[in-house]
Amino acid sequence: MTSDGTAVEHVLADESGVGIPAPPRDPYAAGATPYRLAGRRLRHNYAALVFAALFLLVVILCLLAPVYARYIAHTGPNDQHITEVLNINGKSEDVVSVTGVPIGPTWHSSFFLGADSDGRDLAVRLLYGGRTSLAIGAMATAITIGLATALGLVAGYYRGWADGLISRVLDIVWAYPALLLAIALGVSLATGGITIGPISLSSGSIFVPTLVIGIVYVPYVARPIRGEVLALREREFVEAARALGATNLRIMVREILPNLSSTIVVFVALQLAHSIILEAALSYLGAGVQPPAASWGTLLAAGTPLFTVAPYLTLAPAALLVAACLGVNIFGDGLRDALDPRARVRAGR
Amino acid sequence: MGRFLLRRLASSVVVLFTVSVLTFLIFEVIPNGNPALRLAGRTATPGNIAAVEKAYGFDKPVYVQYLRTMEQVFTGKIVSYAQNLNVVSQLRQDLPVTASLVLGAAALWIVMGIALGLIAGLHAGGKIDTGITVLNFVGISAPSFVIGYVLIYLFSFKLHVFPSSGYVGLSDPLAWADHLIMPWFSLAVLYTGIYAQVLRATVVDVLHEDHVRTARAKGLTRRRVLVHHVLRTSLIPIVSLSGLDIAAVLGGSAIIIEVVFNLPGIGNYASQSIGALDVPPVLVITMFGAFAVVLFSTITDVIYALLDPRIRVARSA
Repeated sequence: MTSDGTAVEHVLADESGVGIPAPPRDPYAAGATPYRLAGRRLRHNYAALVFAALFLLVVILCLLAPVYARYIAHTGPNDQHITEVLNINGKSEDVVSVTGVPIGPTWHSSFFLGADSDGRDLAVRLLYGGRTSLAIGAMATAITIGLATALGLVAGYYRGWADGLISRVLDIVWAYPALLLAIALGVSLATGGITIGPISLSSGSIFVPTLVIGIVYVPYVARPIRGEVLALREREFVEAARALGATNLRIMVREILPNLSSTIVVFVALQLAHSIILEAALSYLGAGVQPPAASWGTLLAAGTPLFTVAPYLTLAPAALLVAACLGVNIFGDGLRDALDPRARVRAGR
Repeated sequence: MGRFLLRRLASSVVVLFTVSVLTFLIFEVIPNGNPALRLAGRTATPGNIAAVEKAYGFDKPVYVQYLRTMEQVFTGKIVSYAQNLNVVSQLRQDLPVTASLVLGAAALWIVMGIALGLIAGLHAGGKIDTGITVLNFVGISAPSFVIGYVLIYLFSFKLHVFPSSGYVGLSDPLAWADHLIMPWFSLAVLYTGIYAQVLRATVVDVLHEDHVRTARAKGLTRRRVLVHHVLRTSLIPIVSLSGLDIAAVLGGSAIIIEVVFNLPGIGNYASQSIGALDVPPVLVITMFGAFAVVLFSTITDVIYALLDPRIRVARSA
């Protein structure tokens, strides 16, 4: 391994001679901070940037939902138009036919993507639903990553009884079939709110699915981080820091945590996608976001029974959900390549 | 190793106990949870309800109810409130369906994930890598039940290749696989993507490690380096993931896929029981799911230690 992290094969393949490190490939590298370097590498990773843009586009579209609803579609996310008749290219069509089949995409300003079985504008609901899904995803991810990093770090670093305690708690969270818990909570909360001591949750609160999703995934992230910390704490640089008199906290935060950053970044991206998808799963089972509030999950749940007659009711939210998750996943992957110079095989070229 | 297993056994008991208590308390705390209301029927008078409460012991303190229920669980006599059927025999009937679904899907995703991840990692930066990576990300980014519906639409309604629902026992292996291939695939897509990505990343990292350079330098064949030095190290995260994921699917996505494909497994039973707020089956299934997780994670830790001698089981447990 050379000082700038260039791949071994690169050294061996060079004509400059075996054993002599290849010169730094980036002439501007000297003096730049690791994050500057990462930013520079990321700028050359066009796939990551394109998909980051895709994710941002979905986010911006969803943020603009009220504007779209008010000035383009002229209807709200929960406004029903079952009995209305549309005039499309001179032909009049029912928003919802007599047999209960909603209108398909009109590609006009109102009912751009068609209507759902209650005669509500699908495009409007899609954008409003995206706001809910993205908010749940972001909050759940923050909960997961924050808890998992802290727990994994402490457990892996201190080992002994701290590790034992944390690992047992993680075991319980993880052993608990969380989807069952989530469905149970969702079903019972759909009929009324709940108050446990100072915490009170109303039946439609999105904090129920958010909290459940956030906690469910903690063991999945904490275990690998703990494993990595177990290996990192035996490394020479930790020994060196300890010899210099660094405190445990300083070693954890300044020596070990930076070495976890690429793992954490990958998990942030994965978790954001995971959380959005789990929200969809919970809502599909009736345990997530409660109607009439829209989320990508509730839209999918409402669309699937009509899949054979009106597939767009499922495909439209699925497409937006997949686009958002795909965007954040591929960007996260690019970020990982950029942050970890040892894996710069792809980003460096 | 013996001492390690003994400690795991002790902690498993603690985990299962905690899970059962938590489940019991959750159904105590939630609103509309009083099963006597449902048992007494639609037009029950307060007198009826009180009679039911007395008959089932709902008027006793929570810990008495808990102990009574646990006694019934362990003697196999527990009966559901809603249908008045023995929960254990119902579970025994559903288990083969869920086991077929989950283990088949796991085999599929482990094989596909390792194959795709290894190929992508070895060709890192090339066209093959990009193609596989895009596939992985699409798989990671799509909910399993949506994949299920798309598969049903394509292969059942349009092409009429596979049946859209139902289960056939293993006594007819062809029909069994025929009914399960779409559920397997729906479950496996997500994990295939994750495993392939994780393995690809690890392979790229491991390829740059000193022990691989040493192995190559001392003249080992490419194949030997790949299998004994790269793959062995790279499989560690996969092993640690797969044990957990199999168990997680048992108490998670398997429920959804069983509902989508109408498979008469434990997941379907669970979702129906929860819908009816039927505590006994939910309690037993939750404990069963927790037991599966504990069992699989113990197996995982043992394999983990065998694969990576650097991690000493006895100390990390």
